[in-house]
Amino acid sequence: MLSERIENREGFTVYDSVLIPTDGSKAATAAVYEGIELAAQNQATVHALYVVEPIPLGGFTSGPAPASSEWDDVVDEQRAEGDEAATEVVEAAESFDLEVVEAVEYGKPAGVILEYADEHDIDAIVMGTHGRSGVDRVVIGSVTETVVRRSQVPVLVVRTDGEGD
Amino acid sequence: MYDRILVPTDGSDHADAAAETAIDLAATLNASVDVLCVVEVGPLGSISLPGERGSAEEILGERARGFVDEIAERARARDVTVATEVREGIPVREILEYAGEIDADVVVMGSRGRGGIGRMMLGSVTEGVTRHSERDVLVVGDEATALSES
Repeated sequence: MLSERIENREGFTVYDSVLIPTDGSKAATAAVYEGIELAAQNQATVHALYVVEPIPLGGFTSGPAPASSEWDDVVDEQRAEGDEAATEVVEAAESFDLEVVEAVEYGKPAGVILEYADEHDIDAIVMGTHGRSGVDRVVIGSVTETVVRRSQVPVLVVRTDGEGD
Repeated sequence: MYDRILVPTDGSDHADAAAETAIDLAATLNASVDVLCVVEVGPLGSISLPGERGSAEEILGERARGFVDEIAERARARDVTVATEVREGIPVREILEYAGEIDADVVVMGSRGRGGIGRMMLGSVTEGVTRHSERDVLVVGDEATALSES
């Protein structure tokens, strides 16, 4: 890893693999394009990750239908959404002729993102200031905040309030 | 993608690792680097005690210039255009203000700072900048620090 990095310094490429988590939101999409640009500058592999977060009561049912069937529907729906969001990243990466890996994982977003970064030797994570649940533009999303706090690798937090570029 | 990269430093290993990343990035993107050190002096900062060579303000200012110069030298060695600045005040506020003044595209910082007594910048500074910046922020984590130390 160290020798690899030193070698990279000579070649002026900083990152070999860039992780772009997405939740399909507008803020995430803005981060996607900046992440792809960063990857393109480094000729890096892009990892597009969508995290499906299980809903605590997703499996609850009051009727005669077994809980599992309803749960499956919820998961299927989330999975389809995730595929769509990840595909958006994949297509953007391919338009830059970048190698791309697509992943849909299950769990708590921040934890899954950090774990994925660790397991796949990610060199940098690019994400928006807030995702789906972002309300105020000055408030950073909890997922992004947790990732920034705990990540071992650099995290590029992309400002997505529509100002500037 | 980025033309102007701001690197605040407090002279810590974390800030050093962030600076290294910033210089790498500048070299890759053909961007310039601005190095900033904010000196945080207390209300009695301008008083010099008998027997000391200067006030806290002067001593810390001198040290801060050392920090920014060292990073600037590393940038120049990589043919990266670099400018330095030392300011006095509250780190988060000064960093955000300076980023606006020079219209930085991205601020590169360590995930943690100096910490403990004599801190000029802590993880809380990075957190404050990440929260309030109108610009992109690249937060450099522990891995880079471990690499720069080895």
